[in-house]
Amino acid sequence: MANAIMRTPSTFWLMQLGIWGSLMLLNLFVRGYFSHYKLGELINSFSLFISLMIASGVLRRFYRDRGTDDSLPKGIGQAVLGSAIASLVAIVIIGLVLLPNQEFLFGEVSNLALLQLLASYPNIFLFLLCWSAVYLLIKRQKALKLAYTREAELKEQLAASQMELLLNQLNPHFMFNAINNIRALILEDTDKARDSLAQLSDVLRVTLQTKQDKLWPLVQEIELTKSFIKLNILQYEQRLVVDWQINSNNIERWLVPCLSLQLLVENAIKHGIGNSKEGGLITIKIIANKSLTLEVINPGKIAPSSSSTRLGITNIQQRLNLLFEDKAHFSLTEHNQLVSAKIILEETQCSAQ
Amino acid sequence: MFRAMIVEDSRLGRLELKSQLANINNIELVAEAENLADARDYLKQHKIDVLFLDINLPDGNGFELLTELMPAPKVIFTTAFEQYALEAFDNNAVDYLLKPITLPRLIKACERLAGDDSVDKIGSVDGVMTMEQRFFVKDGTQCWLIPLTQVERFESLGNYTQVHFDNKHPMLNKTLAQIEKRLPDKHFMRVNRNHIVQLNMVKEVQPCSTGGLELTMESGAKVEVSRRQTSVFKGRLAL
Repeated sequence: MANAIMRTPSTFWLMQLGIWGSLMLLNLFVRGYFSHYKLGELINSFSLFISLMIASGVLRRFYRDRGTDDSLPKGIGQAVLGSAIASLVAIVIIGLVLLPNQEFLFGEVSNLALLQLLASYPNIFLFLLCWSAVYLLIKRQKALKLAYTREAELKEQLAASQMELLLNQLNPHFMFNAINNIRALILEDTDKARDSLAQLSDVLRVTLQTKQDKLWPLVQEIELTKSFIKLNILQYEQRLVVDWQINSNNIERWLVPCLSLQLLVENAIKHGIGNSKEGGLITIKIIANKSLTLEVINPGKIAPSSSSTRLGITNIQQRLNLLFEDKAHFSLTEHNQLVSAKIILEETQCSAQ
Repeated sequence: MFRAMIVEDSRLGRLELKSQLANINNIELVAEAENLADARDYLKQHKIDVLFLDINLPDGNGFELLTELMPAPKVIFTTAFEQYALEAFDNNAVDYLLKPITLPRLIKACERLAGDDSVDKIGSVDGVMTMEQRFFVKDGTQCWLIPLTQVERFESLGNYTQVHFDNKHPMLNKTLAQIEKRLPDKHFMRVNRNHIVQLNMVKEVQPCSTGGLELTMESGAKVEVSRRQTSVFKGRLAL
């Protein structure tokens, strides 16, 4: 991430040139004024400039290797440490340039030169500490901005996928057929029509609440699926026969993804009943022991390249992966003219607390 | 009075439409079918004027039935959600009703039927079409109801037939022989193994080196009359 922030070295070095260059000119002007512009002062200021340029490069490398998420005390500690090291580097460079050439540069050899040099250490340290503060501030600011952009992008993606989810699960074909059938049922059997409306609102409510990313009790999922099947029986009547085989004595314990069994049944009806003049039998098996198996069997074959089937399967798999990682398994198999869709959930991940 | 047939797999769906059609004077419901096969069986023996046709059916989609019928009856599609499939039609060639179907909308659709007299009452499936009668062609997402008067020629392409009309060339899922039986032979003639032309659309006739004739059609297309058919063709034009 640090690399992404400081990707423009030329801007960085231009700024260093500006900052340290103006400092050098100021230093040169003030000191030169009192020493009548000796060659030594020029070299002195210039070596200060070069050593600060090098020191800021060293600091930059030092900070770059450290993250931006550190706590404030740790950040300050790093800044102090970094500035101390960089100041030392700068002093050594200045010393190497000035000390061996004192006579040539200043016309005299001072016994106090080393002391003077060491005395300038706190000054340089303060310069570099200020520099570090500004540098780290900019760095944090950039990282923050990037994080905000990322978050906004993620939110947008999430909203889009939720919308897609909603559209996928709201099967308009089913909804409008159900409404049309209930309208006719009102002419024929008002009590049944009233029940059907209640079932339709059950299905609609769960669908609209976008609970697809949530777990809820298996018992409720079974009730919802029963409502869904009754509405489909209005459409298919004797063409749709459903056999429930529930093999469990602890069914209340289990949590399942919302609309999971319903989705298996919807696919089974669409491909096994909707495409057939005679219709057929949908078998729903629920086996709960150490693990939970939801299996829905419909007559027919797996459509070889139907994109809608593919999409449905991918959706189921993605949802299971999101909710259970590798603790859930989905399979779609065909045997003897029967298609079986199966979800297996491992106990540890989904039993009710 | 229009004789109507409902093709719809849901019994309640049929009941709903039936109960609403009872309010409409110019429609007499004569048949119901729950799938394409039943509809085909009925239409082999009986005449109807208008089809209320569901798009999604257990043994196929409504378009399949419509392309098989020559001439095409008047049709009103009924659909829960496939209206997009019908919006591809040229100039609203067919009408459609969205479920749940409402009476005012149904009345409007039936009035439109009455106002459209380009279609005579249709003959049986094996009958010969009149020139004004139309047939239904679906090619990809494009659909047409084409009156015979507009057809320049039919061209055989294996088990399919290409219809050339108005600079368009969609494919029909029928053999040329099947189509030939439905065409009035006063206006259409098989000029060689692969072509049936509408005689009114022949612009020029020229003798051809092989001993046959070469026809230039209205569109500029050239079609050869086989040697076997040349004398027949000359006789027909002389009439």
